[in-house]
Amino acid sequence: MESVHLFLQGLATAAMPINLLMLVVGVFLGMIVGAIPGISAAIGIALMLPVTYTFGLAPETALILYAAIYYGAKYSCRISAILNDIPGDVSSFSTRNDGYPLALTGSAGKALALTAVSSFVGGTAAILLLTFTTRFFADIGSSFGPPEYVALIAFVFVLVLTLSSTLFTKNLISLCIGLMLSVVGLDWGTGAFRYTSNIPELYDGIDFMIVVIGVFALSETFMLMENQQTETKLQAIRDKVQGLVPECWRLKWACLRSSMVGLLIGILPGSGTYVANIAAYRFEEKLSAKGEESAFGKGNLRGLIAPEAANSACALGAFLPLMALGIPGSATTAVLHGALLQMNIDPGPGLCRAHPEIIWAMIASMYLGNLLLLVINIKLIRYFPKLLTIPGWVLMPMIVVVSFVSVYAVSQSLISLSIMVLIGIFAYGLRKFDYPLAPLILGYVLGKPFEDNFRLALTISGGDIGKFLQSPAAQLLWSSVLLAIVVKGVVRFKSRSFQ
Amino acid sequence: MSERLFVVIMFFGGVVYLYFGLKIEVPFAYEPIGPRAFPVLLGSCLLLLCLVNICIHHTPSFPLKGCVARHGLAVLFYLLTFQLLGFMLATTITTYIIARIVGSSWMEGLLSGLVMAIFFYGIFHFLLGVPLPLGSLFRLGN
Repeated sequence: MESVHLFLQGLATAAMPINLLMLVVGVFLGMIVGAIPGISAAIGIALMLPVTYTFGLAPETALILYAAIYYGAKYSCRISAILNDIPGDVSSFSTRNDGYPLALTGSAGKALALTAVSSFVGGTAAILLLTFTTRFFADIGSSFGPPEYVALIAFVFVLVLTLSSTLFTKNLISLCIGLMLSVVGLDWGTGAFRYTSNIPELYDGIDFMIVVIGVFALSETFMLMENQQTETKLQAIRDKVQGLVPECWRLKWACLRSSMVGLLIGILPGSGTYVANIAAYRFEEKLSAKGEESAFGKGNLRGLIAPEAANSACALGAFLPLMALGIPGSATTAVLHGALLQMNIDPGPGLCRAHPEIIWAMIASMYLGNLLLLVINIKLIRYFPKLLTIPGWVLMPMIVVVSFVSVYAVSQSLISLSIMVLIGIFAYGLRKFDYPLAPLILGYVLGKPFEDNFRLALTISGGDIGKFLQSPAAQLLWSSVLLAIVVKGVVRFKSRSFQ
Repeated sequence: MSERLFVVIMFFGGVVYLYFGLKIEVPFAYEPIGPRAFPVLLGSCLLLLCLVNICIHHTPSFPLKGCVARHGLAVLFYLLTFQLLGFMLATTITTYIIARIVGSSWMEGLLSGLVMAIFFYGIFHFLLGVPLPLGSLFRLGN
């Protein structure tokens, strides 16, 4: 009964004019950044930080805005995948397999409308999960002390390292660099300065904004410069959407199955929407019968809707570990986590207990945002493909200028800008040599809580390392860490012996 | 550029990190590991991983494209002139340079430079209240 009361309270907060306005702004902004290939939700959130600072938005309003940018971007990255054969984000990697062939046959409108509905279904499934389980997981999380948090963060690190398809050492190097960046600044316990070199800008550590903009926005301009397309494959929307409801009803089970796949992957830290998108597609492909009207990869409707349902379910499902336990599971949720910390919102069981109204306002706003996205994506979808025709000579300088101004807004110093440029160039090198950026950003965001909790646990126990294995929760988490490593080792060994 | 060179740069970064990590001064210590342990551990890990990666060496080398190098120089130019020439002038010039690298005509480049400088100055300075530099060269501001 209390939950119903809190939900209604959250709905009332979400329906306040300022929150509704930020929801609409966030959804539209998210759709814009998601639709343009190369610009991700992380960039959208990072570039909105100075705006939220300046306007001094309330915590729940900022949370609603950031969340809307995030799921709005994940919702719309399919547009480019279907119309241009280039996913707006890796989250729609498999959508193009069947989406682009449909666009080639003149069914782009139908493909976009069907994926809008499947994204809506996936998103709704995830929001329902958030509604009913956030409190339960937050209660578990609130019993966690420093040793359990160390184990939980170690579990996230190990999942990020083991679930990625990239080379293990590259993942580890990326994580190591993220952790190294998190160490910079004044040490809380002893007052020692670490790597600050008497530069005041570094006393509080390297600002989150500098790292995120350098890693995601500035390095992206180098990648965009390198991958400039001379010929466009963009398809126009020529068809009118008819018979959407019966078609959706026919595909309901595929949609629900994929939503479940996305949810499972979303609540598990370390994998992200890219994995969910591919996994749901492969799963449906395996279930497909030979006599289907069109084969997978040639415009199959199940192959079209499955990855998008999983993408949305995974994106919104990732809010569960973030909000209930304070643990981001992917690069974008790590950026979201950092952005919330900048606004003095510390996601986790503490926030759920002390300010449940903020969490419930966010969850209630997600229902509204998801519905708004469905309406926009069916009624206004003809206008968004115009974003794909923005020329590079407008887009690239714009990202560079906004990156500089956003960092300058936070710290009016040349040193901060220099660090951002340095990080941007370095991140470009990492991308070129296939070093994933997710472990870096997770290491940077979770490095400090990991070290703080580790040292705190040791201080409490007087240096007894056994403290880390005392509670059942910590034992379970460390066993999971061990299991993940063993499974990864076995899988690698088997794949080598097959070769 | 080869990955081996990139890893060597990271390796030397790790050496510097480790060196300064060992030099962290601890004013007083009442906890078991102190502030030095993590940086030293991380620096050592990076060195070890770099050595392993040099031996494995997987990604093929790639030639640094001319447009990417020129873009890098344009970004550096923007960094150096951001405060010196001020936001408006530095943004106009940098936008023009980047637009030209991407392949725009000189008119498109100039227009996008001017529009972007005025638009973002308006947004950030007047709407968001972020004080953007007016140019120390002209003694108009920071």
